[in-house]
Amino acid sequence: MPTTATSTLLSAGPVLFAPEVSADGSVVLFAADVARATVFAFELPAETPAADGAVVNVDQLGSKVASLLGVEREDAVIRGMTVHPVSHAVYLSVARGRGAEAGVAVVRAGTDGQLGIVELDDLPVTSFELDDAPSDDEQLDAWLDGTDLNSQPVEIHGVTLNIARVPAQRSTITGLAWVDGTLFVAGLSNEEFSSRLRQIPYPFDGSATATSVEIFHVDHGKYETQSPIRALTAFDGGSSILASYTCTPVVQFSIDELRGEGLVRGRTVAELGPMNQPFSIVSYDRDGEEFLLVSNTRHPLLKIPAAAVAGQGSLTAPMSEPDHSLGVPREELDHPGITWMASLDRGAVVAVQLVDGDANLRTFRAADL
Amino acid sequence: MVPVDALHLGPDLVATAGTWERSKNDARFRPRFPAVAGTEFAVIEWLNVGGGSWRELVRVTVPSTGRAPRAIVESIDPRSPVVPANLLRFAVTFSTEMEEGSAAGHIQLLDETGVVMSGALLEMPPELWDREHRRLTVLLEPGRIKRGLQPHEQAGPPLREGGTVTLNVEASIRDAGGSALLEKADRTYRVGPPIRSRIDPLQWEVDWPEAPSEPLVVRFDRPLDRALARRYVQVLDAHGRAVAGRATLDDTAELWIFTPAEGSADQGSWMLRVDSRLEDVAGNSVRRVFDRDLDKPEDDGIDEPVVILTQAGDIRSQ
Repeated sequence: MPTTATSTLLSAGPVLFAPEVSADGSVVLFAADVARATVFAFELPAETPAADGAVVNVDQLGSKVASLLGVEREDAVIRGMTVHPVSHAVYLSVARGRGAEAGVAVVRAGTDGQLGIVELDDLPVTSFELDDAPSDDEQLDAWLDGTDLNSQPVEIHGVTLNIARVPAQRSTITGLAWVDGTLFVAGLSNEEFSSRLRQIPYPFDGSATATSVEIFHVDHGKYETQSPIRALTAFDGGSSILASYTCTPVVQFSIDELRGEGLVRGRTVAELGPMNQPFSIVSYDRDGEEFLLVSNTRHPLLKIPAAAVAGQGSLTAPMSEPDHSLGVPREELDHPGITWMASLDRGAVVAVQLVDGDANLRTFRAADL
Repeated sequence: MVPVDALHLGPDLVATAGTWERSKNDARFRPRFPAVAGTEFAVIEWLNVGGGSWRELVRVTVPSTGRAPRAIVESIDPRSPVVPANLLRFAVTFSTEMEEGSAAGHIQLLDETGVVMSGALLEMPPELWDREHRRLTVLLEPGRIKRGLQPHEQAGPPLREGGTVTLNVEASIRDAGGSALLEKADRTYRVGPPIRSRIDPLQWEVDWPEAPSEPLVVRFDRPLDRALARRYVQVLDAHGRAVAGRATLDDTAELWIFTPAEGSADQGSWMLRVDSRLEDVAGNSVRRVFDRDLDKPEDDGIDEPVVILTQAGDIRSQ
């Protein structure tokens, strides 16, 4: 539910700037607090517009962020990245520290290459919690278990009993996307292996739409499964979502179909293969054409033309057939070690690139992608 | 002030965020974020000689907390000796609140010879903790379980029927205070045949109580996911209200025993409410098969959010 109280992030997760800029120059930064299954929307004050062609590059980003946050290299882990729509500064959500000193920091890397800490605590903020308290019919207060941490004495039939509420399941947030005033939130539950995609209008008004999204798998057409979405982005002028699943298919959904009713079947347009997890998806333009990049834990960076996604029929041929299709044409780009990506403007992509054990922040021009 | 392991940055050093308070004889540094126990810092100054360089003045180590490890693994689910070849997940329950972020890379699946089965588990993060940060859900790589998917076809399923696997939890996972576990933990399983069908409550053996003080005993048609069985199986009275009582699931996760609270009545009209999101250990639910075979009519899903099992042995949807 939305709140207007000043709040502090407790854990690091995906971050995303809304592209719209207010008249006073302020912009909204969405930050997922994965431990609380909550999305915070911070209103950030105006920043100086980026100079034409200004980009962000930071060598040894990992070591520098750790040093800024006062921790050893392995105690600072990037959990999300987004680009300020006006200044083009890169905002990183970082899990820092460990044990009792574990926490989160948002670090800003400007076009001048300088790093700074973004102080969020005094900014105007609203929030939306994904896992509300169970509804009445889910209130399982029929548990009599004195050992449970959640048990409370309740009187039933004139007898006082120790009743334990079954704790609500917890979602974690794996991806954020923005389409026309609506935040799309992909997540993974610690209990059900579900595939709900939530759409939350912003400003938060307490409402949200959740649609079950399922997939036909690419190379067989014989099986249908559900699986949580790992990473997603809007493309095609905001009419579609391209999502990658925890089990590697890349799937297209039409925004029009995501109405929170029934079951929506996504169109599997590519499969990324075994021993691999999709990491991040981003859209950009080159020579007037839209492309999508998918970074992976093990495979090279993949480039997919958006037009090919629209033209790609759902893949149904069994993989055992010699001429089976693996989906849309994709190109493997020679940029190894890419993890987090975000669009700088439509003509450039900022990426975290792992080189020799450290992370570097790199801007790639569309011409180089 | 910088962590010592950042000194390799040389001229590009980034100072640790914080504020210096200087007085006549000393200077105090107050870091922006709490200092992590055991971290070694260097105090450095910029020497404007030649091209300029940093000079190290002194090193300071944040005292370690000295807390002895005390957290242990309380249980690893499934608790039965045999798991289906298409097992979807394990759950590791710890004795105390744990630190989110420390589990990645420290839980592995081992084969018969104790060798780590690379790519068998879904990589973390995200780490799937419950709200108390005591129970961690560990998913097997779903792409390798699902039939027809490239990972399944090319790398094969992570578990092979007839084999043996061990889930290994390293002691290096940290509790919320930053201490490692008292000891590592593991559990070994034989791999049985896969389970590829919907949970069918009509196949459950239900012993309805003869008196309101007697337990209601259900033997499921297969082992169920422990957390979801707790949430999604419920006893209702004739008015559709939950009957108070205590439910337990045995170690096989197949035998569910509900002991009604004192003062319960009208057991003859009780019903069993089953949320169709209830899953077995392989991710099949009452609603859907985990990887549905479109050529098999029996794999068709149901749309009802809830099914009600009555004492007459039939099922009502709600």
